[in-house]
Amino acid sequence: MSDNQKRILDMLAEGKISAGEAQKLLGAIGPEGDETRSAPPRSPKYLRVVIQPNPDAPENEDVKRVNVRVPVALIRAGIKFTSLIPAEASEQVNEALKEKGIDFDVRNLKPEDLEELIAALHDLEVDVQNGQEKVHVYVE
Amino acid sequence: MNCPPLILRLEVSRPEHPRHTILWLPIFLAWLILAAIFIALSPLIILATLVAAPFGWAKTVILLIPLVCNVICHLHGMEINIEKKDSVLFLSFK
Repeated sequence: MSDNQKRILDMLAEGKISAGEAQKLLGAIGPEGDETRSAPPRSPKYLRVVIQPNPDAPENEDVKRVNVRVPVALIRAGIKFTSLIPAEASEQVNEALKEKGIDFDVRNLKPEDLEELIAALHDLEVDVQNGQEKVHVYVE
Repeated sequence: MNCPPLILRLEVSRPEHPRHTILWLPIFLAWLILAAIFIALSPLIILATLVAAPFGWAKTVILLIPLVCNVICHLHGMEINIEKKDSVLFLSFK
């Protein structure tokens, strides 16, 4: 808690200002001095993929529950394998992806880009509900 | 460089075997065996690199080993849990 916030709360306790005025003042000074907000975001350590039965769907015994935790460092290490893909193989992979409707060039996949992607994952959660299953992908 | 996972925790439970089996597998032994195999095969790997060089595959052969080691070393913390009605499979690299 910052000095300004403390002062406003003291004034409220002493009855110098009303609760509404204190709220307005606190809103005006914003989240200053709030260490939890100013701290840099923690880099994600794990990518979690959870597949659960859809609670809205009728109960089905065949539906599996899957919970996979992949270290982000492992993804980083794995992406380096792309440097080993020969140019001819990359073209074949790109063509195969295009056939599946994915317009993506694997040659553009670079470790530097991955760092950005991982940083962006911190604020991302993917929720997909598909019939019997519910898929939740997030980082922690 | 990170240390490769030393233990693999494996939990299995199947409907035909109601007992919940938990195994702590010392996979560091597998890494030791792999290292021994790698050392034994290193002359062949060098030969393969020399043969592959004119075709542009030498880089692939040379880089493959450190990259595989890198992946193995980052397996720490990997967990896979699959549950179905009466069966459970849980893998955790420690």
